[in-house]
Amino acid sequence: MKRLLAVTLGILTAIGGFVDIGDIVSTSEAGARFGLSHTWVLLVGIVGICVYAEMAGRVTAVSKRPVYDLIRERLGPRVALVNLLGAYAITLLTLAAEIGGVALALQLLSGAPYLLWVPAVALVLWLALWRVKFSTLERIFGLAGLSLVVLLIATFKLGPDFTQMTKIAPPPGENWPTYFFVAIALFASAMTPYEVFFFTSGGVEERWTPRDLTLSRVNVFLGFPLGGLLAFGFLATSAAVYEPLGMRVDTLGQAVLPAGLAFGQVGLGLVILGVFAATFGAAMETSLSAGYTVAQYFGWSWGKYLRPRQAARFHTVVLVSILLAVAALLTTIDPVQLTEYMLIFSAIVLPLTYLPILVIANDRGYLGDKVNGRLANTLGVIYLFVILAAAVAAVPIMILTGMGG
Amino acid sequence: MRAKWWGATALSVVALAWGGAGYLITKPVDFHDYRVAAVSAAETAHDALTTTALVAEALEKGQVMTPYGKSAFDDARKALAGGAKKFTAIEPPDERCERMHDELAPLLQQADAALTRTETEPHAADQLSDALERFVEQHT
Repeated sequence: MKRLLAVTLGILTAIGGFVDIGDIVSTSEAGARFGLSHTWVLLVGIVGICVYAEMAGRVTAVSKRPVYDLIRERLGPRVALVNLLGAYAITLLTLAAEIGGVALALQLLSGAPYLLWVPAVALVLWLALWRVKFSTLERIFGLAGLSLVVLLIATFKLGPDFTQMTKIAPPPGENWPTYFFVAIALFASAMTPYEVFFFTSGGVEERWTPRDLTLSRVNVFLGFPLGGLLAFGFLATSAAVYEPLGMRVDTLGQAVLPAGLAFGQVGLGLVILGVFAATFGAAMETSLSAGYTVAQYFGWSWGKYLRPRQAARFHTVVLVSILLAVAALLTTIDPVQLTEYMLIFSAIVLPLTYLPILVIANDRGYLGDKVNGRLANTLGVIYLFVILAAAVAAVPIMILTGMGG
Repeated sequence: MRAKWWGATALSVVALAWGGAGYLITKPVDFHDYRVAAVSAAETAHDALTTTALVAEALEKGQVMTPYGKSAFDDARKALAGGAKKFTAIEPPDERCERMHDELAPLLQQADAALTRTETEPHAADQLSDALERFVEQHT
Protein backbone atom coordinates (compact mmCIF):
# COMPACT_ATOMS: atom_id res chain seq x y z
CA MET A 1 0.00 0.00 0.00
CA LYS A 2 2.84 2.35 0.96
CA ARG A 3 4.53 1.69 -2.39
CA LEU A 4 1.29 2.29 -4.23
CA LEU A 5 0.83 5.61 -2.45
CA ALA A 6 4.41 6.56 -3.32
CA VAL A 7 3.45 6.99 -6.97
CA THR A 8 0.70 9.51 -6.22
CA LEU A 9 3.07 12.40 -7.01
CA GLY A 10 3.35 11.14 -10.59
CA ILE A 11 -0.39 10.48 -10.78
CA LEU A 12 -1.28 13.93 -9.43
CA THR A 13 1.26 15.66 -11.69
CA ALA A 14 0.06 13.77 -14.73
CA ILE A 15 -3.65 14.10 -14.05
CA GLY A 16 -3.21 17.80 -13.32
CA GLY A 17 -0.95 18.19 -16.35
CA PHE A 18 -2.88 16.15 -18.88
CA VAL A 19 -6.43 16.66 -17.69
CA ASP A 20 -6.52 20.30 -16.66
CA ILE A 21 -9.35 22.51 -17.84
CA GLY A 22 -7.54 23.51 -21.04
CA ASP A 23 -6.84 19.92 -21.98
CA ILE A 24 -10.35 18.79 -21.18
CA VAL A 25 -11.93 21.33 -23.50
CA SER A 26 -9.26 21.25 -26.23
CA THR A 27 -9.16 17.44 -26.28
CA SER A 28 -12.96 17.26 -26.40
CA GLU A 29 -12.99 19.90 -29.14
CA ALA A 30 -10.42 17.86 -31.10
CA GLY A 31 -12.57 14.74 -30.74
CA ALA A 32 -15.76 16.53 -31.81
CA ARG A 33 -14.20 18.10 -34.91
CA PHE A 34 -11.54 15.63 -35.95
CA GLY A 35 -12.68 12.32 -34.46
CA LEU A 36 -9.80 10.18 -33.26
CA SER A 37 -7.36 11.48 -35.87
CA HIS A 38 -5.34 13.38 -33.23
CA THR A 39 -4.65 10.28 -31.14
CA TRP A 40 -1.07 10.24 -32.45
CA VAL A 41 -0.50 13.72 -30.95
CA LEU A 42 -1.44 12.42 -27.52
CA LEU A 43 1.02 9.55 -27.99
CA VAL A 44 3.79 11.93 -29.11
CA GLY A 45 3.02 14.15 -26.12
CA ILE A 46 3.06 11.27 -23.64
CA VAL A 47 6.44 10.01 -24.87
CA GLY A 48 7.82 13.57 -24.91
CA ILE A 49 6.80 14.41 -21.35
CA CYS A 50 8.05 10.98 -20.16
CA VAL A 51 11.46 11.59 -21.78
CA TYR A 52 11.91 15.01 -20.17
CA ALA A 53 10.23 14.22 -16.83
CA GLU A 54 12.52 11.18 -16.47
CA MET A 55 15.55 13.43 -17.09
CA ALA A 56 14.25 16.05 -14.67
CA GLY A 57 13.41 13.42 -12.03
CA ARG A 58 16.91 11.93 -12.37
CA VAL A 59 18.49 15.37 -12.04
CA THR A 60 16.48 15.97 -8.86
CA ALA A 61 17.10 12.55 -7.31
CA VAL A 62 20.87 12.71 -7.91
CA SER A 63 21.53 16.39 -7.17
CA LYS A 64 18.75 16.65 -4.54
CA ARG A 65 17.92 20.03 -6.06
CA PRO A 66 14.98 21.02 -8.26
CA VAL A 67 15.58 21.62 -11.96
CA TYR A 68 14.86 25.34 -11.89
CA ASP A 69 17.47 25.94 -9.21
CA LEU A 70 20.07 24.25 -11.44
CA ILE A 71 18.96 26.12 -14.56
CA ARG A 72 19.76 29.39 -12.81
CA GLU A 73 23.12 28.12 -11.58
CA ARG A 74 24.14 26.47 -14.87
CA LEU A 75 22.92 29.08 -17.35
CA GLY A 76 23.37 32.21 -15.31
CA PRO A 77 20.84 34.70 -13.94
CA ARG A 78 20.11 36.49 -17.26
CA VAL A 79 19.08 33.44 -19.27
CA ALA A 80 17.27 32.05 -16.24
CA LEU A 81 15.38 35.34 -15.89
CA VAL A 82 13.99 34.99 -19.43
CA ASN A 83 13.03 31.43 -18.53
CA LEU A 84 11.46 32.63 -15.27
CA LEU A 85 9.38 35.35 -16.94
CA GLY A 86 8.07 33.00 -19.65
CA ALA A 87 7.33 30.14 -17.26
CA TYR A 88 5.75 32.38 -14.59
CA ALA A 89 3.45 34.14 -17.08
CA ILE A 90 2.21 30.83 -18.48
CA THR A 91 1.85 29.33 -15.01
CA LEU A 92 -0.17 32.32 -13.82
CA LEU A 93 -2.50 32.12 -16.84
CA THR A 94 -2.89 28.39 -16.23
CA LEU A 95 -3.62 28.98 -12.55
CA ALA A 96 -6.41 31.42 -13.45
CA ALA A 97 -7.84 28.90 -15.90
CA GLU A 98 -7.70 26.08 -13.34
CA ILE A 99 -9.46 28.08 -10.62
CA GLY A 100 -12.07 28.89 -13.26
CA GLY A 101 -12.24 25.17 -14.13
CA VAL A 102 -12.92 24.16 -10.52
CA ALA A 103 -15.61 26.84 -10.34
CA LEU A 104 -17.14 25.57 -13.60
CA ALA A 105 -17.24 22.02 -12.22
CA LEU A 106 -19.04 23.32 -9.13
CA GLN A 107 -21.45 25.24 -11.36
CA LEU A 108 -22.36 21.98 -13.11
CA LEU A 109 -23.12 20.36 -9.75
CA SER A 110 -24.93 23.29 -8.15
CA GLY A 111 -26.38 25.33 -11.00
CA ALA A 112 -24.98 28.52 -9.37
CA PRO A 113 -22.90 30.78 -11.68
CA TYR A 114 -19.20 29.93 -11.66
CA LEU A 115 -18.12 33.48 -10.82
CA LEU A 116 -19.78 33.09 -7.42
CA TRP A 117 -17.58 30.06 -6.76
CA VAL A 118 -14.29 31.68 -7.81
CA PRO A 119 -13.46 33.49 -4.51
CA ALA A 120 -14.49 30.44 -2.44
CA VAL A 121 -12.33 28.12 -4.56
CA ALA A 122 -9.36 30.49 -4.25
CA LEU A 123 -9.77 30.65 -0.46
CA VAL A 124 -9.96 26.86 -0.09
CA LEU A 125 -6.97 26.49 -2.42
CA TRP A 126 -4.89 28.89 -0.39
CA LEU A 127 -5.91 27.28 2.91
CA ALA A 128 -5.09 23.82 1.53
CA LEU A 129 -1.64 24.97 0.41
CA TRP A 130 -1.06 26.75 3.70
CA ARG A 131 -2.27 24.09 6.14
CA VAL A 132 -2.49 20.66 4.54
CA LYS A 133 0.50 18.32 4.14
CA PHE A 134 1.92 17.89 0.64
CA SER A 135 1.50 14.10 0.71
CA THR A 136 -2.12 14.38 1.84
CA LEU A 137 -2.94 16.76 -1.01
CA GLU A 138 -1.24 14.45 -3.50
CA ARG A 139 -3.20 11.44 -2.38
CA ILE A 140 -6.62 13.07 -2.13
CA PHE A 141 -6.54 14.79 -5.52
CA GLY A 142 -4.39 12.26 -7.38
CA LEU A 143 -6.67 9.39 -6.38
CA ALA A 144 -9.97 11.29 -6.76
CA GLY A 145 -8.86 12.25 -10.28
CA LEU A 146 -8.82 8.55 -11.09
CA SER A 147 -12.63 8.61 -11.19
CA LEU A 148 -12.12 9.92 -14.74
CA VAL A 149 -11.52 6.29 -15.64
CA VAL A 150 -15.29 6.22 -16.14
CA LEU A 151 -14.66 8.02 -19.46
CA LEU A 152 -12.44 5.20 -20.70
CA ILE A 153 -15.19 2.70 -19.95
CA ALA A 154 -17.72 5.05 -21.58
CA THR A 155 -15.53 5.07 -24.69
CA PHE A 156 -16.26 1.41 -25.28
CA LYS A 157 -19.96 1.83 -24.56
CA LEU A 158 -20.34 4.81 -26.90
CA GLY A 159 -18.14 3.24 -29.59
CA PRO A 160 -16.33 5.91 -31.61
CA ASP A 161 -14.87 4.99 -35.00
CA PHE A 162 -11.56 3.50 -33.86
CA THR A 163 -10.28 3.20 -37.44
CA GLN A 164 -9.80 7.00 -37.40
CA MET A 165 -6.87 6.48 -35.01
CA THR A 166 -4.65 5.54 -37.95
CA LYS A 167 -5.78 8.41 -40.20
CA ILE A 168 -3.41 11.33 -39.74
CA ALA A 169 -5.48 13.82 -41.73
CA PRO A 170 -8.37 16.21 -41.22
CA PRO A 171 -11.83 14.81 -41.99
CA PRO A 172 -13.90 16.31 -44.86
CA GLY A 173 -14.97 19.91 -44.08
CA GLU A 174 -11.84 20.65 -42.03
CA ASN A 175 -8.45 21.89 -43.28
CA TRP A 176 -4.80 21.17 -42.56
CA PRO A 177 -3.91 24.48 -40.83
CA THR A 178 -6.74 23.99 -38.31
CA TYR A 179 -5.73 20.35 -37.88
CA PHE A 180 -2.18 21.44 -37.02
CA PHE A 181 -3.41 24.26 -34.79
CA VAL A 182 -5.29 21.70 -32.67
CA ALA A 183 -2.28 19.35 -32.80
CA ILE A 184 0.03 22.08 -31.44
CA ALA A 185 -2.44 22.90 -28.65
CA LEU A 186 -2.69 19.22 -27.67
CA PHE A 187 1.09 18.75 -27.78
CA ALA A 188 1.66 21.91 -25.71
CA SER A 189 -0.90 20.75 -23.17
CA ALA A 190 1.01 17.49 -22.70
CA MET A 191 4.32 19.31 -22.27
CA THR A 192 3.19 22.27 -20.11
CA PRO A 193 6.30 23.61 -18.28
CA TYR A 194 4.74 23.69 -14.82
CA GLU A 195 4.48 19.89 -14.88
CA VAL A 196 8.28 19.56 -14.76
CA PHE A 197 8.78 22.30 -12.19
CA PHE A 198 6.08 20.81 -9.97
CA PHE A 199 7.27 17.23 -10.40
CA THR A 200 10.91 17.98 -9.58
CA SER A 201 10.12 20.37 -6.74
CA GLY A 202 7.72 17.72 -5.42
CA GLY A 203 10.60 15.24 -5.58
CA VAL A 204 12.69 17.56 -3.42
CA GLU A 205 9.74 17.98 -1.02
CA GLU A 206 9.62 14.20 -0.74
CA ARG A 207 13.41 14.17 -0.19
CA TRP A 208 14.31 11.96 -3.12
CA THR A 209 17.88 10.64 -3.18
CA PRO A 210 19.73 8.58 -5.83
CA ARG A 211 18.11 5.55 -4.18
CA ASP A 212 14.74 6.88 -5.31
CA LEU A 213 15.62 6.84 -9.00
CA THR A 214 13.38 3.83 -9.53
CA LEU A 215 10.54 5.51 -7.66
CA SER A 216 10.98 8.61 -9.83
CA ARG A 217 10.87 6.49 -12.99
CA VAL A 218 7.82 4.56 -11.84
CA ASN A 219 6.11 7.90 -11.17
CA VAL A 220 6.99 9.07 -14.68
CA PHE A 221 6.26 5.92 -16.64
CA LEU A 222 3.06 5.11 -14.78
CA GLY A 223 1.70 8.58 -14.03
CA PHE A 224 2.11 10.36 -17.35
CA PRO A 225 0.78 7.58 -19.60
CA LEU A 226 -2.17 7.28 -17.20
CA GLY A 227 -2.83 11.03 -17.52
CA GLY A 228 -2.61 10.72 -21.31
CA LEU A 229 -5.01 7.79 -21.27
CA LEU A 230 -7.56 9.81 -19.31
CA ALA A 231 -7.18 12.67 -21.80
CA PHE A 232 -7.85 10.11 -24.54
CA GLY A 233 -11.13 9.35 -22.74
CA PHE A 234 -12.31 12.92 -23.40
CA LEU A 235 -11.12 12.76 -27.02
CA ALA A 236 -12.83 9.45 -27.72
CA THR A 237 -16.16 10.11 -25.98
CA SER A 238 -16.51 13.47 -27.74
CA ALA A 239 -15.64 11.80 -31.03
CA ALA A 240 -18.39 9.25 -30.40
CA VAL A 241 -21.13 11.70 -29.41
CA TYR A 242 -20.42 15.01 -31.15
CA GLU A 243 -18.57 14.22 -34.37
CA PRO A 244 -21.55 12.46 -36.01
CA LEU A 245 -23.70 15.51 -35.13
CA GLY A 246 -21.20 17.90 -36.78
CA MET A 247 -20.85 19.82 -33.53
CA ARG A 248 -18.10 21.73 -31.78
CA VAL A 249 -17.34 21.59 -28.08
CA ASP A 250 -16.69 24.87 -26.28
CA THR A 251 -17.80 24.27 -22.72
CA LEU A 252 -17.01 21.97 -19.83
CA GLY A 253 -20.67 20.97 -19.69
CA GLN A 254 -20.47 19.58 -23.22
CA ALA A 255 -17.17 17.80 -22.49
CA VAL A 256 -18.62 15.80 -19.58
CA LEU A 257 -22.04 15.04 -21.09
CA PRO A 258 -20.97 11.81 -22.87
CA ALA A 259 -20.36 10.16 -19.47
CA GLY A 260 -23.98 10.95 -18.55
CA LEU A 261 -25.24 9.59 -21.85
CA ALA A 262 -23.28 6.38 -21.26
CA PHE A 263 -23.90 5.74 -17.55
CA GLY A 264 -26.56 8.21 -16.42
CA GLN A 265 -26.25 10.41 -13.34
CA VAL A 266 -23.65 8.15 -11.70
CA GLY A 267 -21.37 8.43 -14.71
CA LEU A 268 -21.88 12.17 -14.95
CA GLY A 269 -21.31 12.61 -11.20
CA LEU A 270 -18.09 10.58 -11.33
CA VAL A 271 -16.69 12.50 -14.28
CA ILE A 272 -17.53 15.86 -12.68
CA LEU A 273 -15.83 14.67 -9.47
CA GLY A 274 -12.81 13.69 -11.57
CA VAL A 275 -12.77 17.07 -13.31
CA PHE A 276 -13.04 18.81 -9.93
CA ALA A 277 -10.11 16.80 -8.54
CA ALA A 278 -8.01 17.21 -11.69
CA THR A 279 -8.55 20.96 -11.97
CA PHE A 280 -8.12 21.52 -8.23
CA GLY A 281 -4.96 19.40 -8.40
CA ALA A 282 -3.77 21.47 -11.36
CA ALA A 283 -4.59 24.68 -9.47
CA MET A 284 -2.44 23.43 -6.58
CA GLU A 285 0.36 22.47 -8.93
CA THR A 286 0.34 25.81 -10.70
CA SER A 287 0.15 27.90 -7.51
CA LEU A 288 3.01 25.95 -5.99
CA SER A 289 4.96 26.07 -9.28
CA ALA A 290 4.59 29.85 -9.34
CA GLY A 291 6.09 29.98 -5.84
CA TYR A 292 8.75 27.36 -6.62
CA THR A 293 10.13 29.10 -9.73
CA VAL A 294 10.29 32.57 -8.20
CA ALA A 295 11.73 31.37 -4.88
CA GLN A 296 14.26 29.09 -6.57
CA TYR A 297 15.39 31.88 -8.90
CA PHE A 298 16.00 34.32 -6.04
CA GLY A 299 17.46 31.65 -3.76
CA TRP A 300 14.76 31.97 -1.06
CA SER A 301 13.66 29.19 1.26
CA TRP A 302 10.80 27.35 -0.31
CA GLY A 303 8.57 24.34 -0.03
CA LYS A 304 5.67 22.93 1.88
CA TYR A 305 7.94 20.79 4.03
CA LEU A 306 9.04 24.01 5.73
CA ARG A 307 6.71 25.86 8.08
CA PRO A 308 5.10 28.87 6.39
CA ARG A 309 7.05 31.19 8.69
CA GLN A 310 10.33 29.65 7.48
CA ALA A 311 9.38 30.17 3.82
CA ALA A 312 7.40 33.39 4.13
CA ARG A 313 8.44 34.83 0.72
CA PHE A 314 7.58 31.57 -1.04
CA HIS A 315 4.10 31.55 0.52
CA THR A 316 3.66 35.24 -0.31
CA VAL A 317 4.35 34.55 -3.99
CA VAL A 318 1.83 31.69 -3.90
CA LEU A 319 -0.79 33.95 -2.29
CA VAL A 320 -0.15 36.87 -4.65
CA SER A 321 -0.34 34.52 -7.64
CA ILE A 322 -3.71 33.18 -6.47
CA LEU A 323 -4.99 36.75 -5.97
CA LEU A 324 -3.80 37.78 -9.45
CA ALA A 325 -5.52 34.75 -10.94
CA VAL A 326 -8.78 35.58 -9.15
CA ALA A 327 -8.55 39.19 -10.31
CA ALA A 328 -8.15 38.00 -13.90
CA LEU A 329 -11.19 35.73 -13.61
CA LEU A 330 -13.35 38.42 -12.02
CA THR A 331 -12.93 40.51 -15.18
CA THR A 332 -15.41 37.83 -16.50
CA ILE A 333 -12.89 36.49 -18.99
CA ASP A 334 -14.00 33.02 -20.11
CA PRO A 335 -11.72 30.43 -18.42
CA VAL A 336 -12.03 28.10 -21.40
CA GLN A 337 -10.93 30.76 -23.88
CA LEU A 338 -8.15 31.73 -21.51
CA THR A 339 -6.77 28.20 -21.61
CA GLU A 340 -6.95 28.08 -25.40
CA TYR A 341 -4.67 31.14 -25.57
CA MET A 342 -2.54 29.78 -22.74
CA LEU A 343 -1.87 26.53 -24.62
CA ILE A 344 -0.65 28.34 -27.72
CA PHE A 345 1.58 30.73 -25.76
CA SER A 346 2.79 27.77 -23.76
CA ALA A 347 4.01 26.20 -27.01
CA ILE A 348 6.13 29.31 -27.59
CA VAL A 349 7.95 29.09 -24.26
CA LEU A 350 8.46 25.30 -24.28
CA PRO A 351 12.06 25.49 -25.61
CA LEU A 352 12.98 27.77 -22.68
CA THR A 353 12.08 24.95 -20.29
CA TYR A 354 13.25 21.86 -22.11
CA LEU A 355 16.57 22.97 -23.63
CA PRO A 356 18.09 23.74 -20.20
CA ILE A 357 16.90 20.39 -18.85
CA LEU A 358 18.67 18.60 -21.69
CA VAL A 359 21.84 20.61 -21.01
CA ILE A 360 21.81 19.87 -17.28
CA ALA A 361 21.00 16.18 -17.77
CA ASN A 362 24.30 15.93 -19.70
CA ASP A 363 26.38 17.73 -17.08
CA ARG A 364 28.63 15.32 -15.16
CA GLY A 365 29.23 18.05 -12.58
CA TYR A 366 25.67 17.53 -11.36
CA LEU A 367 24.87 13.97 -12.35
CA GLY A 368 28.20 12.10 -12.32
CA ASP A 369 27.67 8.75 -14.04
CA LYS A 370 23.88 9.26 -14.12
CA VAL A 371 24.05 11.63 -17.11
CA ASN A 372 21.86 10.94 -20.15
CA GLY A 373 22.59 7.76 -22.06
CA ARG A 374 22.43 7.50 -25.85
CA LEU A 375 18.70 6.73 -25.93
CA ALA A 376 17.73 9.62 -23.63
CA ASN A 377 19.87 12.03 -25.66
CA THR A 378 18.55 10.83 -29.02
CA LEU A 379 14.94 11.14 -27.86
CA GLY A 380 15.72 14.42 -26.09
CA VAL A 381 17.18 15.99 -29.23
CA ILE A 382 14.37 14.69 -31.47
CA TYR A 383 11.80 16.14 -29.09
CA LEU A 384 13.68 19.39 -28.85
CA PHE A 385 13.24 19.76 -32.62
CA VAL A 386 9.53 18.94 -32.31
CA ILE A 387 9.21 21.50 -29.50
CA LEU A 388 11.06 24.14 -31.57
CA ALA A 389 8.85 23.45 -34.59
CA ALA A 390 5.71 23.81 -32.45
CA ALA A 391 7.06 27.02 -30.89
CA VAL A 392 7.87 28.60 -34.26
CA ALA A 393 4.60 27.54 -35.90
CA ALA A 394 2.29 28.42 -32.98
CA VAL A 395 1.64 32.13 -33.59
CA PRO A 396 1.53 32.14 -37.43
CA ILE A 397 -0.88 29.21 -37.42
CA MET A 398 -2.97 30.86 -34.71
CA ILE A 399 -3.33 33.99 -36.89
CA LEU A 400 -3.85 31.98 -40.07
CA THR A 401 -6.71 29.94 -38.59
CA GLY A 402 -8.20 32.67 -36.38
CA MET A 403 -7.58 30.58 -33.22
CA GLY A 404 -8.59 27.36 -34.94
CA GLY A 405 -11.92 28.78 -36.08
CA MET B 1 27.72 46.34 -29.04
CA ARG B 2 26.26 42.83 -28.93
CA ALA B 3 23.67 43.88 -26.36
CA LYS B 4 22.66 46.84 -28.58
CA TRP B 5 22.29 44.53 -31.56
CA TRP B 6 20.07 42.16 -29.57
CA GLY B 7 18.08 45.09 -28.23
CA ALA B 8 17.50 46.50 -31.71
CA THR B 9 16.48 43.07 -33.05
CA ALA B 10 14.07 42.49 -30.18
CA LEU B 11 12.55 45.97 -30.63
CA SER B 12 12.14 45.41 -34.38
CA VAL B 13 10.41 42.07 -33.80
CA VAL B 14 8.05 43.60 -31.24
CA ALA B 15 7.31 46.56 -33.54
CA LEU B 16 6.63 44.22 -36.47
CA ALA B 17 4.37 42.01 -34.35
CA TRP B 18 2.38 44.97 -33.03
CA GLY B 19 2.20 46.51 -36.49
CA GLY B 20 0.94 43.25 -37.97
CA ALA B 21 -1.60 42.80 -35.19
CA GLY B 22 -2.73 46.43 -35.58
CA TYR B 23 -3.22 45.96 -39.31
CA LEU B 24 -5.23 42.76 -38.80
CA ILE B 25 -7.46 44.40 -36.18
CA THR B 26 -8.14 47.66 -38.05
CA LYS B 27 -8.39 46.49 -41.67
CA PRO B 28 -11.89 46.95 -43.13
CA VAL B 29 -14.21 43.93 -43.29
CA ASP B 30 -14.24 42.24 -46.70
CA PHE B 31 -16.35 39.40 -48.14
CA HIS B 32 -14.06 36.73 -46.68
CA ASP B 33 -14.20 38.21 -43.15
CA TYR B 34 -17.98 38.54 -43.35
CA ARG B 35 -18.39 34.97 -44.60
CA VAL B 36 -16.21 33.66 -41.75
CA ALA B 37 -18.26 35.62 -39.19
CA ALA B 38 -21.56 34.40 -40.66
CA VAL B 39 -20.47 30.76 -40.74
CA SER B 40 -19.17 31.03 -37.18
CA ALA B 41 -22.51 32.50 -35.99
CA ALA B 42 -24.46 29.76 -37.79
CA GLU B 43 -22.23 27.06 -36.31
CA THR B 44 -22.62 28.52 -32.83
CA ALA B 45 -26.42 28.60 -33.19
CA HIS B 46 -26.44 25.04 -34.53
CA ASP B 47 -24.27 23.80 -31.67
CA ALA B 48 -26.38 25.62 -29.07
CA LEU B 49 -29.58 24.05 -30.40
CA THR B 50 -28.05 20.56 -30.68
CA THR B 51 -26.52 20.72 -27.20
CA THR B 52 -29.82 21.89 -25.72
CA ALA B 53 -31.63 19.05 -27.48
CA LEU B 54 -29.10 16.46 -26.24
CA VAL B 55 -29.28 17.72 -22.65
CA ALA B 56 -33.09 18.04 -22.72
CA GLU B 57 -33.38 14.44 -23.90
CA ALA B 58 -30.91 13.28 -21.25
CA LEU B 59 -32.91 15.16 -18.60
CA GLU B 60 -36.10 13.44 -19.74
CA LYS B 61 -34.40 10.06 -19.40
CA GLY B 62 -32.97 10.97 -15.97
CA GLN B 63 -29.38 10.66 -17.27
CA VAL B 64 -28.26 14.07 -15.97
CA MET B 65 -28.94 16.10 -12.84
CA THR B 66 -31.22 19.16 -12.89
CA PRO B 67 -28.48 21.69 -11.89
CA TYR B 68 -26.33 20.31 -14.71
CA GLY B 69 -29.22 20.78 -17.16
CA LYS B 70 -29.80 24.35 -16.00
CA SER B 71 -26.11 25.17 -16.37
CA ALA B 72 -25.88 23.58 -19.83
CA PHE B 73 -28.98 25.49 -21.01
CA ASP B 74 -27.47 28.75 -19.69
CA ASP B 75 -24.22 28.06 -21.55
CA ALA B 76 -26.11 27.38 -24.78
CA ARG B 77 -28.17 30.59 -24.42
CA LYS B 78 -25.02 32.64 -23.77
CA ALA B 79 -23.21 31.09 -26.73
CA LEU B 80 -26.13 31.76 -29.07
CA ALA B 81 -26.50 35.37 -27.88
CA GLY B 82 -22.73 35.96 -28.17
CA GLY B 83 -22.55 34.53 -31.70
CA ALA B 84 -25.56 36.53 -32.90
CA LYS B 85 -24.22 39.73 -31.32
CA LYS B 86 -20.86 39.35 -33.07
CA PHE B 87 -22.59 38.72 -36.40
CA THR B 88 -25.02 41.63 -36.20
CA ALA B 89 -22.24 44.00 -35.13
CA ILE B 90 -20.63 43.70 -38.59
CA GLU B 91 -22.07 45.75 -41.44
CA PRO B 92 -22.29 43.76 -44.70
CA PRO B 93 -19.58 45.30 -46.95
CA ASP B 94 -21.22 44.43 -50.31
CA GLU B 95 -24.33 43.00 -51.97
CA ARG B 96 -23.25 39.35 -51.68
CA CYS B 97 -22.81 39.85 -47.96
CA GLU B 98 -26.21 41.52 -47.68
CA ARG B 99 -27.79 38.44 -49.26
CA MET B 100 -25.92 36.29 -46.78
CA HIS B 101 -27.13 38.52 -43.96
CA ASP B 102 -30.75 38.27 -45.15
CA GLU B 103 -30.43 34.50 -45.25
CA LEU B 104 -28.88 34.05 -41.80
CA ALA B 105 -30.46 36.80 -39.68
CA PRO B 106 -33.97 35.21 -39.65
CA LEU B 107 -32.48 31.81 -38.78
CA LEU B 108 -30.66 33.32 -35.81
CA GLN B 109 -33.85 35.02 -34.64
CA GLN B 110 -35.77 31.75 -34.89
CA ALA B 111 -32.97 29.96 -33.04
CA ASP B 112 -33.31 32.38 -30.15
CA ALA B 113 -37.00 31.56 -29.78
CA ALA B 114 -36.56 27.84 -30.47
CA LEU B 115 -33.89 27.39 -27.82
CA THR B 116 -36.33 27.85 -24.92
CA ARG B 117 -38.82 25.47 -26.55
CA THR B 118 -36.12 22.84 -27.06
CA GLU B 119 -35.44 22.74 -23.31
CA THR B 120 -38.81 20.99 -22.85
CA GLU B 121 -39.34 19.53 -26.34
CA PRO B 122 -35.95 18.12 -27.44
CA HIS B 123 -36.87 17.77 -31.12
CA ALA B 124 -38.64 21.13 -31.49
CA ALA B 125 -35.77 22.73 -33.41
CA ASP B 126 -34.58 19.82 -35.54
CA GLN B 127 -35.57 21.49 -38.83
CA LEU B 128 -34.02 24.78 -37.86
CA SER B 129 -30.85 22.98 -36.84
CA ASP B 130 -30.73 21.31 -40.27
CA ALA B 131 -31.24 24.69 -41.98
CA LEU B 132 -28.30 26.14 -40.05
CA GLU B 133 -26.17 23.14 -40.98
CA ARG B 134 -27.06 23.65 -44.65
CA PHE B 135 -26.09 27.33 -44.38
CA VAL B 136 -22.69 26.34 -42.98
CA GLU B 137 -22.13 23.76 -45.73
CA GLN B 138 -23.13 26.23 -48.47
CA HIS B 139 -20.81 28.97 -47.29
CA THR B 140 -17.77 27.00 -46.16
